[in-house]
Amino acid sequence: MTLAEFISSWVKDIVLLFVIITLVDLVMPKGSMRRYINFVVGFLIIFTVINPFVNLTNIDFKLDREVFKNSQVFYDLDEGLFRQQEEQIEELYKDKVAVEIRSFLEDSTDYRVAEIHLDINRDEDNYGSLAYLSILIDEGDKDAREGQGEIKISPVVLEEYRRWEGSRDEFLDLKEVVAERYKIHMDLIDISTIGLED
Amino acid sequence: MEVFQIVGFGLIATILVVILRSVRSDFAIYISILAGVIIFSMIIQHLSYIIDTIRDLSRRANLEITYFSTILKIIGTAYIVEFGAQLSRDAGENSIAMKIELAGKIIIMTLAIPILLSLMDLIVKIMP
Repeated sequence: MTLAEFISSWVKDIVLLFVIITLVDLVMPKGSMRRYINFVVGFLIIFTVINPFVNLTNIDFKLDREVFKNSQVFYDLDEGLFRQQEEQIEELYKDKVAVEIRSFLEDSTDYRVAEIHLDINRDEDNYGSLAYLSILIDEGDKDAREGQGEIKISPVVLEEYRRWEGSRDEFLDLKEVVAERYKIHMDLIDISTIGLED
Repeated sequence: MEVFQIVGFGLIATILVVILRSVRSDFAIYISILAGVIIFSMIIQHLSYIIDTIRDLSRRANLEITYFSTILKIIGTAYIVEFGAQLSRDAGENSIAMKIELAGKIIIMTLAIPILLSLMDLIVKIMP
């Protein structure tokens, strides 16, 4: 962004801000509350004026995040609602991580992931890091994909799905890759398979 | 014209309140509350148009949505507080009106303080 563009976008923001403030001023109720609204609108002017310089200095500042952090002290009083919100955020986060792990494994290996179960750390220092990861791999699907393009004549057998007890050595390298990428100890990763009986 | 409806309704409510005040003063306050709510419901569509316009402008000005929603909440709180305080004053309860205003001021400050703290943090961060 050139200097001229920077200044023009800054001036445009300020002009639009004053148009908004004028509208807000018209809508405001007259009375003792007016001073309080002006107080907050003053913050908005300060923020809009200094915001482009914040972006220039590469300071990691997001107003909504900071406001959320500062207002948490107040919302902590409402334990129930806050806890419910936190649980929802946690579930969403876990789902996103599971989707990420699934796409990583399916893109970089031949395995197809059937299920992923995970849990996260809740202590202050490591909040959000993986505490436990269980991956269920569908080997039946892998065999099917490997067999594509070939005509196999096999006897008709009663297909029986089984789940392997514990982790197998062949998944050691897979465990290593996952452990390195997601910064989790290998002992905390459990990889099992679901596949066709030999 | 909608303005005639609103003004006409307001005038009728005023006349009713004036008449009732001399006959049954306790009913006058109910009429006053009802008139306030009905007038507010009549203008709410126009108000939403104004709010949408301000929201659209704030988007164009790259304003933070947090800031905008806080300002809207503050304006809404201020209106409700003014409405309640004026009704209390009309009923002759000045002390209750003052307490309603106090509550409104505290709620507005509660909404404003996180922004104030964030701004202070930002100013401290950009200071060399």
